[in-house]
Amino acid sequence: MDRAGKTALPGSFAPGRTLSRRRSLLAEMRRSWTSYLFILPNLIGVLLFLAFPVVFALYMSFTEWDILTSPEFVGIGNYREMFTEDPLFWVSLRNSAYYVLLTVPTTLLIALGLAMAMNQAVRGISFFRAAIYVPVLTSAVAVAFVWQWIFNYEFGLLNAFLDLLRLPSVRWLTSSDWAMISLAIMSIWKSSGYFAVIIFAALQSVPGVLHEAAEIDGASSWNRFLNITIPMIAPALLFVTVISVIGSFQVFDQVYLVTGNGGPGTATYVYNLHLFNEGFTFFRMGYAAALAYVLFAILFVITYFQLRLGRKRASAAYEFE
Amino acid sequence: MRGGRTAAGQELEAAEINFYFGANPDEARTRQTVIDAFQEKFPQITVNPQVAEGDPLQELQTQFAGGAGPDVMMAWELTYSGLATRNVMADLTERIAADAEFAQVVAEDHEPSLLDMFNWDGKQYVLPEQFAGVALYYNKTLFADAGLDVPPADWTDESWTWERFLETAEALTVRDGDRVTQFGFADAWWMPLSATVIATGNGGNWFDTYVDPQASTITDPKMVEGLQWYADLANVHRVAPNAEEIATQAGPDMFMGGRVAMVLVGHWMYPAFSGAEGLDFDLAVLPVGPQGTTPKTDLGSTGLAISASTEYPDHAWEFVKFSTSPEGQEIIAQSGLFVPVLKSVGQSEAYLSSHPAIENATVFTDGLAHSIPLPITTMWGEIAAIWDRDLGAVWRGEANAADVCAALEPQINDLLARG
Repeated sequence: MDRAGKTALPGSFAPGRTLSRRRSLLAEMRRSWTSYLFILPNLIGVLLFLAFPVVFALYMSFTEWDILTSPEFVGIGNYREMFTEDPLFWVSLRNSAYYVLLTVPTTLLIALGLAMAMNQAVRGISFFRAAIYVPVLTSAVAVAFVWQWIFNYEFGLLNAFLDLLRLPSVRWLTSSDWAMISLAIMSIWKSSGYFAVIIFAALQSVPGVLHEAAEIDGASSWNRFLNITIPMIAPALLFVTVISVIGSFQVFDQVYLVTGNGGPGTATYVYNLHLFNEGFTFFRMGYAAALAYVLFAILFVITYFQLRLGRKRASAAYEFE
Repeated sequence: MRGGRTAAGQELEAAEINFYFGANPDEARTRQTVIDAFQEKFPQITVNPQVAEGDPLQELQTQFAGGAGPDVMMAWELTYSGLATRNVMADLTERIAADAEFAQVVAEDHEPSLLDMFNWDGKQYVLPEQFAGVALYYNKTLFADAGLDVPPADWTDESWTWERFLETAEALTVRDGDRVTQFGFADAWWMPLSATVIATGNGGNWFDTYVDPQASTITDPKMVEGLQWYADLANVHRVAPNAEEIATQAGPDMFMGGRVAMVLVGHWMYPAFSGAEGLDFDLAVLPVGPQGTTPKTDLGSTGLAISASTEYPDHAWEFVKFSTSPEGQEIIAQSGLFVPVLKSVGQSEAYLSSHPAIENATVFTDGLAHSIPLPITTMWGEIAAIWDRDLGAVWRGEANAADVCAALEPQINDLLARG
């Protein structure tokens, strides 16, 4: 039974006791061999389709391979080329980083706001909770299609709205200044609901007694928000931040569906698009695998620092027991 | 024509072969008539059609990597060399030579430049099936309403200059204040390639040679002039839709809706255009630039190839032979699926009668002798990517063609050197 103050989050984010595993692991395994049998199908799937490809990709990254003929070992040639001879590597990295900066803070703030809205005990709130989540469920292709029309220069909703306000029309998808911002808007719309639901779950488990006690002591609602709500949902916020950074850095679908080739020019040429082109259009699977591993390294470092910084703040939530 | 399909062909045992091709729904239906005709002749061979769902090159790549490639596949002029050089396709030279009658067809009835385009490293990997060069479709009603002479349908007509084209397009452009409600011209193909074809109509050449080029010649003033002129139609003269307007409605849709008087596109849009209600159209040749001689189009083509790893090479060969022989080409011409490549079939009644909506169907078949080849290089993927990306700035009016070509030429040469 969860005690008040504990949020239902993946265990890796909760600082806790470590099992003294080494001694009893084998004994445990022998005792519960049937459990292992139950997870065997899934385990095989994970090994075949996740673990093996990941390890094989590491090997691939040291080769030049067009998957139709045999691979040619080139050592660190791909990595060297990436950092010294491929200007598109830096361009795509910069674009993905820009995309992350545009989407993550905004999505976080909007998700927080939506979660607070979902937390109201108002009639019909279930409808709104569902409505907020619907964009997440909608197919990416449908979303891209409709948003291309919303961004349309001549007849789109956004420019029509700007017209009403007597503002000049924006070339949402055909100008290099606005193209990335347009994609960010579309993605924020699509994914805010997902993170809002996670934060909402955290909000629901903030004990009401804390707010009541603070009210009695004369704290304003802004004060309560800053000093009670935020610290109590900090683990959820940390989770949302880490996941959305990892996800945004790997954006591909939206770009491929809306601009196709990362246009105009290289304005929306993101990292995964570069990877996809190198691997599947230019017959260079080895180089694409190297790109994938560099991305992994970057995200690993970012996530490590995020967790280190975040755990200290999140631990406040667990002190209240 | 029974030729080489007598004893050897009928001795084949029963088998199923997979035939991979790209097609829109209309084309897929007409492909089936060719397959049905073949299966009537060879009842023991079943041909399973596999229509491409996404990018054919990627699909073929993944299928062959997985060891499950098709037995017969459609091949595109721009992308086949990448597969040929990686031993995905079988060399057909000896098979052609072994069949005396078919070899004669190949030697005499094919346009030599087409065959050469599909000959890589001294080996014939693909037999051409269709001519996919582009031409001008025009809206007869709009021309009649404006009281203008229709464009010529003769590739030797030197009077259809860029100047005359621009005048015509301007006369056919209807403006409503700032907005254009009817355009004189719209591109209905792919800007990077359309503009290049127009530039070759100005006497320009894209590369030093077309099969396995070693150097790009896009800084040739004739090429630059052509690319710039094409972009100016939209950005300077405003007779063609610009980037935003094309995003609202693509060229083919504009033409079918009667919103544009002339479009540049190939034969593959004929079924859709002839099915559009109220659209009275016909074919004309492309305009010739001031530095050019006579109108030119591109030597676009697709053909058929056999997989090098197929279990049934003889069966696959019979199907390829059937489709590319006069018999198969006659069916193709009659169904209106493609523009046939064999000279004997191109001028036949079958081809002309399958295009009832127009009078100038020979614009396509005649175009074959007036076309400039497309570049055949294993680096096409990379080259097309930077070509599309950097020229985009010219179409959007953000840069001029001279600067972009000057910056691109060394990059393209680097890519060619890598290949």
